[in-house]
Amino acid sequence: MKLILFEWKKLLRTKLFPIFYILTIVFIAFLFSRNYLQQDLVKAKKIDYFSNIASEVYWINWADREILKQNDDPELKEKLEVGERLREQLRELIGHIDNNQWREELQKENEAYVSAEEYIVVYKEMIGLNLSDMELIKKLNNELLKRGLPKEDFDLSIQPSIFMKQVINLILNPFGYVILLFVLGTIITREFEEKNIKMVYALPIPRAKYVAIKFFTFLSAAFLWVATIFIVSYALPTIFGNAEGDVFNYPLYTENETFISTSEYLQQALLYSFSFTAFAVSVLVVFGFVLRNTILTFLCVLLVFSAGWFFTNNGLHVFANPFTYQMMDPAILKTPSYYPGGGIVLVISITILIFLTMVLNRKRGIRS
Amino acid sequence: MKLFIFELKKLVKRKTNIVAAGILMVALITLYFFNYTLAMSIHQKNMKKFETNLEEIPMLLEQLKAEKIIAEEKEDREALYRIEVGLEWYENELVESEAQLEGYKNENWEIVYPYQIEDYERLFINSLNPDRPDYFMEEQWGNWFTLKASLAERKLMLERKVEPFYQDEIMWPWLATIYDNFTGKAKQLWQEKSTRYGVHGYYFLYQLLPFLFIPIVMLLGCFIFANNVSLESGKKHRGMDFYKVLPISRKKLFFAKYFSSMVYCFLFTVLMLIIPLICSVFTKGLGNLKYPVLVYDGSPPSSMGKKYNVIDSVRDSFHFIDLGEYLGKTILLAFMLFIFLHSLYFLVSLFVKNPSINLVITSFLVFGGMMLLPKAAYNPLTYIDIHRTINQEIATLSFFNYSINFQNGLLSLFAAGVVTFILGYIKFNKGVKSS
Repeated sequence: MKLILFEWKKLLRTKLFPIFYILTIVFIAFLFSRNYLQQDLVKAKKIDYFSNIASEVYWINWADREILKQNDDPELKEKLEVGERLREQLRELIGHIDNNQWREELQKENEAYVSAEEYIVVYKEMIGLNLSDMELIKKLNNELLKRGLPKEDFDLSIQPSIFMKQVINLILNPFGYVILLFVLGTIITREFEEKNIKMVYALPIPRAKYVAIKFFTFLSAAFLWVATIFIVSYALPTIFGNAEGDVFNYPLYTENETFISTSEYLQQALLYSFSFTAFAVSVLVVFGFVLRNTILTFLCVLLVFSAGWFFTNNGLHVFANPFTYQMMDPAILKTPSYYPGGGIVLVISITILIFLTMVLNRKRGIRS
Repeated sequence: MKLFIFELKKLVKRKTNIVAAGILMVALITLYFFNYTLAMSIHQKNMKKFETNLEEIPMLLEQLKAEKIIAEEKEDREALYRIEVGLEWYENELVESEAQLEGYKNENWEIVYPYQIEDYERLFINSLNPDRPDYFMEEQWGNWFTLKASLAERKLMLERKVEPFYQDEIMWPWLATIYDNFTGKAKQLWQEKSTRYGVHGYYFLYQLLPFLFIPIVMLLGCFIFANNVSLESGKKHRGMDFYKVLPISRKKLFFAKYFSSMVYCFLFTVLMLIIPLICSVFTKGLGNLKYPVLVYDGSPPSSMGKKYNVIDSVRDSFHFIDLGEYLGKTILLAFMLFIFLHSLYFLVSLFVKNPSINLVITSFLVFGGMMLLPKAAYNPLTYIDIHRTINQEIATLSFFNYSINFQNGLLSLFAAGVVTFILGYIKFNKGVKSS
């Protein structure tokens, strides 16, 4: 325990980790303030989106009305009725969005999509709406109405569970992990480069134990960092936001178009983020103790994480690949069935890597 | 000069530097061959599409011929006409598929291009709505700009006899542009159809450039070679203190340190750019420098004010430049960018002793600044994205501000490079504190 505390002291003395830790909190606070200040933009985006569709429908209706003025065409009249209905519903929908009446907004959006589907069939004309996307949105809206929750914008939300999801995806990704490892890793490589390790090896501490101490120190620091991300991203919107309903019951679509609630999402994210962080730390420990050089260690870490990300995105998103769990959205929403087995994959990988470090480090001397 | 050569020697004697550079080169070679495998699997998939056509069409023809006999017996003129049209269409399709499969197999693109151009032109002629053409993904319409650019590109490719990129689409190999605004599933589908894979050396480089390949390689080069001050100012490595007791002026020392790291960073960047070209010699060759590269021209500025200069897929225009010209401009801009990035990294390394933190800080300054600062003609960080500077994408999206161009990019980056160099010189002369 004393040794771990000693390692912690080293970590704090370098100042890098505390700075990085504070910067992470500042980043989350900045993101929250941005989302908070741009709440009007969410409304404006929605109004802009539906206004564009409404205006397209309006001009087509206008052209049809002009034709009808010149000659009476019953078929066109019927078509125009659908068009007028859609236009009216879109107008009402924009009104509800403007007045912040979210229940009416969701209901009207669904009604508008029913008319839009009919419109596409009757007019054989597309108005920037996918039939399949509309079906999905209708299903989501019904689910939201059932659960009594307003719809959130995933990029600008101040609802606690959605904000947490946004923060987790922005920070806990290959880029974030690499920076964390850059910050932590110097403690290992500098000891080798500055030959302090000679002093450590002269002490009566088994090398395997020293590796384990380093691993657990980094692990505790990294876990503190991850826990802070979760706590701050929950605390800020809970204190300053004004969320309505059971916020952790917000439905999220999985790849196979079923719903999972944000509480399930965050539960899985907790497991994956902590276990992947432990995996990332073990990768660092392997490279740090084997290569014993700052530049080489970091290049290898950078390459391993970039390659992990690249191959996962190009067909290797499979259960047994530990890098599948480095990005929460794809890991949870693409393959929800991997939970909780994914955690076991990571734990096995960590054990192998740490064992490997201990074995590789057992007999190797220190080059002077 | 002696000091400079001594510094050069020191950098090359540090085995770590050579190993690190080697690892990155191996990574790039791996990336090239992975990309090659992907491209070849797409090529096979495309050929399979034609082979399937060739298997299915004869069966459909047989079926139609049988229907024709029945229709003739019944003297059903309407059905007979429909069948005749169908037969003609399928027979034509059979001939085309055979010819195109042959073209794909032998990679004889001069056979394939005319069919693709014909498909585009058919789409062009049949699109009657002036606001948007008749192609779509899921239920979302495409736009005129992309169609016009894709058609013009194919015509130029045929005229210049250049090889194409590999793409998961046989009829309309779309050229993705900034005017595509698909959403949801349509966007996903569009990305699959329009993603291009280059296996020829120049094409692979062209494929990498939009992903900020050059600034990333330069920063990694600096990470490996430009720490010759910070690594000698540590507690245990006091190389800088050693120089203080020698009769060497700080000015000379600065130039020796700065230029020795610069030489290696430069060589490393050049090597990283040459590697794909060398790899391609063993596969499909270097490619054709006449390949057309799209450049956005926007529209004449609006008389109602700058904010009305927004992109419009119907009105806006474009032109093509040769890949050779594009790469030439890229190299010139990359050289200026190199001076700037190296000076910036060197400057940061005078303040921070840890190479990995230097890399993080410099990357944040460069890429953060590129994303967050407003795009302007004399903002050097606007030009970090060399690809989008040369194809005028940044200028077009910045309300048709065409003063964001190649020449101003050269000037701004050079000026920024000189300023950071001078700052580095001042800081170095004031003394680098040992940590």
